[in-house]
Amino acid sequence: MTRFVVRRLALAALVVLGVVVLTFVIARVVPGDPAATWAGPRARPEQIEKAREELGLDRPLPAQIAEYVGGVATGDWGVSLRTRRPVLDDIGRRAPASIELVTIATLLALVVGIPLGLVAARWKGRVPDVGSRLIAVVGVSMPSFWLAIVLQLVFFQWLHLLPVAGTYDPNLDYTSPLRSITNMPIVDALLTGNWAVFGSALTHVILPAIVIAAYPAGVITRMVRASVLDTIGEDHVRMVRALGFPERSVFGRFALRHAWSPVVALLALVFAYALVNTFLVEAIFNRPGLGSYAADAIGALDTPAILGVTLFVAIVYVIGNMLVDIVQATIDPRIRVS
Amino acid sequence: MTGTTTGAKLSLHDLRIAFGPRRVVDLDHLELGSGQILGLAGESGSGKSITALAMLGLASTFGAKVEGSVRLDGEELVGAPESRLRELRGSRVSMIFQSPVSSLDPLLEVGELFERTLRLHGVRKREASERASDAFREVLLSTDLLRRYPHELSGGQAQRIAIAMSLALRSEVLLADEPTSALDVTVQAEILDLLRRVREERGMSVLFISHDLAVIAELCDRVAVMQLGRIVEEGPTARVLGEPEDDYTKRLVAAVPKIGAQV
Amino acid sequence: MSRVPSYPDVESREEVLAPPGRLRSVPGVIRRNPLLAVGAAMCLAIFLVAVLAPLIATYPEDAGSAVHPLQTLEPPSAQHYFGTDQVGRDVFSRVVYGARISPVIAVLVLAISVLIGVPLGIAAGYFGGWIDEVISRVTDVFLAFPALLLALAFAAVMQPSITNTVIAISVTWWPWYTRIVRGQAASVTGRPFVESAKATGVPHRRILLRHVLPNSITPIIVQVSLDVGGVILTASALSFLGLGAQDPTPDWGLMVSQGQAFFTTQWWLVTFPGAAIFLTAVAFNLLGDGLRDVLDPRRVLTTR
Repeated sequence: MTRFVVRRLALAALVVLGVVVLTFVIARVVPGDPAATWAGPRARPEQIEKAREELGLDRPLPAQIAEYVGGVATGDWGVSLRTRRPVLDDIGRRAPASIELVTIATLLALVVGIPLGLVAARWKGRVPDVGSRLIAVVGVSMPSFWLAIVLQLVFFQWLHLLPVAGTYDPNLDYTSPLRSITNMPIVDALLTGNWAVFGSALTHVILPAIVIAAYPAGVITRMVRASVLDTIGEDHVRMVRALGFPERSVFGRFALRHAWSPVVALLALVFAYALVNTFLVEAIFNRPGLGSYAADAIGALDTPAILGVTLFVAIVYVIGNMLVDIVQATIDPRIRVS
Repeated sequence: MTGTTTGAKLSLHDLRIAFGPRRVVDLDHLELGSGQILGLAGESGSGKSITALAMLGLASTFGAKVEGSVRLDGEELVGAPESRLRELRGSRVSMIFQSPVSSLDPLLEVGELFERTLRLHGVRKREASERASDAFREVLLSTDLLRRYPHELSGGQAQRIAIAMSLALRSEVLLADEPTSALDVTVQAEILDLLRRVREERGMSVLFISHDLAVIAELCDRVAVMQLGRIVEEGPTARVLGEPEDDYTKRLVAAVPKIGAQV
Repeated sequence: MSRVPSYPDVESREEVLAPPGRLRSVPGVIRRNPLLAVGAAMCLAIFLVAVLAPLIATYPEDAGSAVHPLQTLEPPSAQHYFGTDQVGRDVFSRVVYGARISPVIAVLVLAISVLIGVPLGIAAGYFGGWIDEVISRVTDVFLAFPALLLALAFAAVMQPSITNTVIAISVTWWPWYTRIVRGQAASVTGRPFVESAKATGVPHRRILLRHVLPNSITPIIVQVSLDVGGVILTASALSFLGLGAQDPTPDWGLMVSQGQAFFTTQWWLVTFPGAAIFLTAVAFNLLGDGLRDVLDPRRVLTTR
């Protein structure tokens, strides 16, 4: 098992390196002068030149990449041209909130998707199946920005049930200020016993989570249905039926276990996809996070920040995939052999 | 030794099985005597497998419509409530299949499957592991194998485990659907041996489905020949295969030159 | 004791247990796949709307640069089924003409993705060895690359336009096809008859064209039909962000973003174009799902 993990780690590192190289190459191709941005709008040519030296932009590309990679390994991800703070710090402050949101959304997607998929498989061809599949298609076809606006319209404007935007009620910053430990609002509120913020943060996270969860829920439903149906036709399920197990056990206890593997694989994909797409949701719901940081960075052509965010997302994706591989091997003993 | 037919263990009457408009089985009469090994011979598509599934009340789960009568010790199975059928499956009538390794859930240790099944049929935990170990010994397997996963087993081992399952459940009837067709010849011989022992020591009734007449000749007391869902000939093995009366049976036997010499 | 040679190989169980033969008739296919039928019908409808736009739209000129300052922000009515927008244009007509844009973007993106991804995948799967390693690693890198980020970066530095949207999405879409096709190609290549063909010196080109490629086509077709919906959603997200089509092009995503400022009071600006995106995606997803059920019951493909 250790060899398995080590191999995966090595591959992962290789891919991340590749992403870094690719990003550098793209950054080179893209017009815009980071040195000028750094030096400021009223800089004189000599100052820009000095900035270029400081930033190491006068060195050849491979050297720049090597230097960057070396820095990354020691925790130096460069300094943001826009905020003038170390990029790693910036990401450390902004990313957790996005991760919290995406985790909640992913859990929501699982809670909705797995039962729907099971129901669809169990009653294949009949009403529950068609209904489930329709719901799944709806989830997968929803433009997230549209869903967000429509939800705001319905739940805030017309029904006055849920807040329209924000992470939690801003007034609470005065009455019950939140102490940041992990930079995740809900987790921090829980850890510090700040129930006012906890409650407010929960009501504020509902709509954004639904928007982000829609697509994954649809995909998970399809996947569970397909996987369970595939398994149902197999010899070992016939055996289990012949041993006297009721249909609900056949689907629920036996077939579902086989569906976990592909669902877990899906999750890594979904998580990474969602992490980047939080950008839209964060913009519409006015929640600061990694997405809005990325957008600001792009708008300002803040190369170190763009590099940092890209690297971060790539690492999350790659680690996610690795975790998936490990979990799959844990679930399915046959995988450990290959 | 021909099994006694004083009380038929399993008897089928006017059994008709259809998939939608297509009828695949049209059986007038078939009986499996207590302690008997009955062979069911025929080519692919003759309806042997679905007939066996009907004996478990599982044909409808696979989309077939079943009419007629299937009686186990006199109890009617066709139309019986699903709960009753589930009680009988495994505990009174078991089935083993052609691909033994793929018939075991790949994600479960063998022992886990045993435990779950025994518990399902009301056997308490401690007794369940005792029964499992005893059954393993009976099929001449080390109880170490209880901790293995199916993909770590050979075909022969997996088939023994399947048989062990029916022993642990104290089944009275074993339906064996091409149990040796996917196994090596030497392993095949071992399994046939095991089936014989199980019949001798436990009085189990066995329905042995196969397209291989030579194997049937060696193992079965009686044989029924199926063609396109109908039984064309039935009787003691020596007679049916040695002096076939039906044309189809004659053709099947003729295709196996060795049988004439053997029987 | 040998197996009797005249007996057919034992597939008896599957044959006996299988339901009656596949219904080849169209009504049969429709009955067994109602969702496919609905999806196909919807796609046909969208196609017709796009083609017949000049006839269906009530005010075709509003899909262009016409403005009507006197009738801005009017609610849906008999004259304007979907109301009018912030410069007075008829929303219904603009939505109708928008049907010409999204599907075209999807077709372009997928064509490019297939043209790049499929050959690479086939090469990787067929030749194996270091070619496979290199292509797979490169594919992995592109897959790990956050797509939207790339598209945003692209659009931020280049002029926002439909062309650039197509390029940006294509760059991150092709790796999926490489991955899928690689698996297919590898499994076909592993089959004995290909091995023997290679051994007897049949030229690679012939093997590829006659065996590997035809066997990989079905998954490609199914994946393409499944992807159309996804591309449409991604493209509309980009135009929502202002990185795609620009005014006065009646792009649905753009229309939603333009209407966002007014959504609390003039709900029709956001609702109808958004619904159009949604329904188009639904149509193609139903079609894709249905096609996959019919063509690929073994589910070789990834669901995304």
